[in-house]
Amino acid sequence: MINFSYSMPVELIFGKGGEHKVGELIRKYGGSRVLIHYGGGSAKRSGLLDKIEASLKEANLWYTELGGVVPNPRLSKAKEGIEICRKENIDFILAVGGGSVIDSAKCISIGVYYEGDVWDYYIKPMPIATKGVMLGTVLTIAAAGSESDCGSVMTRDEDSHKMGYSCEPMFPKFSVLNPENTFTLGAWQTAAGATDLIAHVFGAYIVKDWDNILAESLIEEIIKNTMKYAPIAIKEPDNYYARAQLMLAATECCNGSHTMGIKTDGVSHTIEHELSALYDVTHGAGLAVVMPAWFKYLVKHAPERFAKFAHNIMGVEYDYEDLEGMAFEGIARFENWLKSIGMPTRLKELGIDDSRFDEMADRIEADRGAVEYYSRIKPFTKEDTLAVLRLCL
Amino acid sequence: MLDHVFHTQTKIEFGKGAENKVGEYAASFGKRALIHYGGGSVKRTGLFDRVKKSLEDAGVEVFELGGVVPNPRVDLCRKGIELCRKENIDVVIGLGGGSAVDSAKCICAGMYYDGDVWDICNCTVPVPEKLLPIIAVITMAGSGTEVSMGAVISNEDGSLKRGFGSNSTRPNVCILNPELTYTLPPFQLAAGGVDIATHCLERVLSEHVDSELTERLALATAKNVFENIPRALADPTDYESHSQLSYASMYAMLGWMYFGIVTDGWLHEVEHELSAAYDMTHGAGLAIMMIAYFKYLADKRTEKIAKILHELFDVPYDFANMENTVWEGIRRLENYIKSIGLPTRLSEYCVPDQSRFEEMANRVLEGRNKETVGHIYPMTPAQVVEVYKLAF
Repeated sequence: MINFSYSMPVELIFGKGGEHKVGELIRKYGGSRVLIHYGGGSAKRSGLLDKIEASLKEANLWYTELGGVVPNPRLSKAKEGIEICRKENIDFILAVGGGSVIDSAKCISIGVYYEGDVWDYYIKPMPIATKGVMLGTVLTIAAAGSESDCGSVMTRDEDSHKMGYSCEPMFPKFSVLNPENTFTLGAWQTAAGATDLIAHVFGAYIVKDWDNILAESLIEEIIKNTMKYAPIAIKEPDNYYARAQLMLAATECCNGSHTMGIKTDGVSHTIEHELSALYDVTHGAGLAVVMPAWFKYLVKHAPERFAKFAHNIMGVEYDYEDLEGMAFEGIARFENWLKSIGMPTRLKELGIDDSRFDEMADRIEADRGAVEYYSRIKPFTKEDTLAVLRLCL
Repeated sequence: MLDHVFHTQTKIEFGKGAENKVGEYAASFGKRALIHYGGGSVKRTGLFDRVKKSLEDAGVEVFELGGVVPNPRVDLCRKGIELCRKENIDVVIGLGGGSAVDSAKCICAGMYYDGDVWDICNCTVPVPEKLLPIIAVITMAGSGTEVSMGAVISNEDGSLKRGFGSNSTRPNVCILNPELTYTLPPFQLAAGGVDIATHCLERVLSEHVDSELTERLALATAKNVFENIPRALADPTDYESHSQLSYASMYAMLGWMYFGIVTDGWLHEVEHELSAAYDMTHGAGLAIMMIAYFKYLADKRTEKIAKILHELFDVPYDFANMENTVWEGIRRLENYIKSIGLPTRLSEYCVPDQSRFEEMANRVLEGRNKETVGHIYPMTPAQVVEVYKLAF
């Protein structure tokens, strides 16, 4: 097991009705002037924003709003937010939405205190950001885990360059996790969210060294539990228990609390980021295509690892004579599960062909310095990236 | 699924040499630190000196207070509080096993309280909001106090043992180097392991499956602990097994295992009376009581106990008669406990006769404002006596 430092200081308020406490929570952390940041309007339609505004009013908080965050959130929107924060002396940003809205809020948070272009943090070697406007979140989708980590992934508008950054000030002070706020999610978003959370934990499972067997057992349980409850949540959108299981898993999984002591593998996320940057596909759907391809490509380099996956997660009988056969059977079952929840498993289902493979592989190469985690099983070159992409066809 | 608030401010520094970072962390709280520890083992092993040096290198002035005993006593905490006030201490470092850390938590909780700190221990007053910062440098895997809210303190003569805690009693920093557990005597190592497993199983012993995810995580952790205790016993310098136990100790109490469930608590509450009355090692008492508890529940909560034992010991399910599964599992559990060198009966460990069973059973509820103990099968004191008898 390798040494590690861990801290996850976010206050998580899990359960029904949490959104009514938002005003009180912001007061507790010393906020007084609030920017409510949200996405395309579903939070408005569902009535969630109204509840939040009522809570803020009750706590005598001044607030203004900035909506319109899109999936794969754009830098331009965050810059708008930075301007508002400066002009209105905002001291608390409340993100109401999923990973995109939260990531955008985090970008605004540190951008307010930086004189230059906030994008510098995402692409340049810089002194780490030490100051940000306080953040809180009200989560509306179980997926990225951004509500309990300190990372943000943003896309620059003009060239679709998609990059991530993380630093302590981007930890939210609190996150309100009410599974009821995910009842309105459609089947596609629910499935994509579940796929995203599974991909996050797979990053700590598809590794070369057996660093932390306990953490690996926990990951297996998280994935199995998610595979059980995602289909239920899709079939019964207002099944509180199933929604709660997904929300809990997403929050627990992505903040590193179950993967301490493991250097995670970032292949699926790195490649998917290029897909969603160039084609604006739903992140989880892109991951559903990339994950099986990534597994298939790596089987021969780590057959024991994939045999363990096949047995412990996908229920394939052990065959010590043919670990690779086992591995491929496990991957086939995983693909079938993805299909069963309505996710694509090939690029053509997303309307994507191989015409920009080279460009994507080049972009990953160019960002390699910044993308410190990439592959743990074997070093990845441009050729490896292309090979995985071809398996996505 | 129950609602839940999770808030863990503890920073964790895990791995070889982690104790050398204590100075850096302490300096972030102030210039004057109290090292609070037990007997001489941390001095003999050189750990005390390393911690002291790390503090001094970081420009922190060091004060000491040793003498914490297992089942730590409130009078030493009072002394510590006095010392902290007199010397304007900025941070307390609990150095040692669970007892040293619990005692440090008690000092920090009492620092800004005007009355007697025992009021906090027996929960007559809530834990104050303001505490001195706590750094835990833990040398064993077991109680999880290195990250948890809880502390357990006994009164002067040790006759009453009381647990208290709030989110503010979580250590600010947890320094966790698994190598520091190498010098534990085998009995203590095994007992600590059973303590960890009990923390996990008490989550599973929730009346309903309130969160399957939580249950899965708890069972997987308990299973991993049971696998690693024998490995660590067989090779006292095996980093893998020791680091897994240290990790599990911390993980079980970090807070993720509380989501959506009610903790049973029976085993801990009932065992505390045993170790208060007979000064026994907590984990050894838990091992004995776990066996007896499962026997008592065999025909009352059959499916739950069967599931636990199935997961832990691969006992095949007997679907025609699930009680058979339970009894086969209990047989394996007893054999397992023996194999790691722990007692399975009260009569073979510390307890000469049954004369104090009623007294202990009544004490479980004393001052607690409730009529039963346990969640999955709430018991009256009379029923607790029955289980003590089964354990004898």
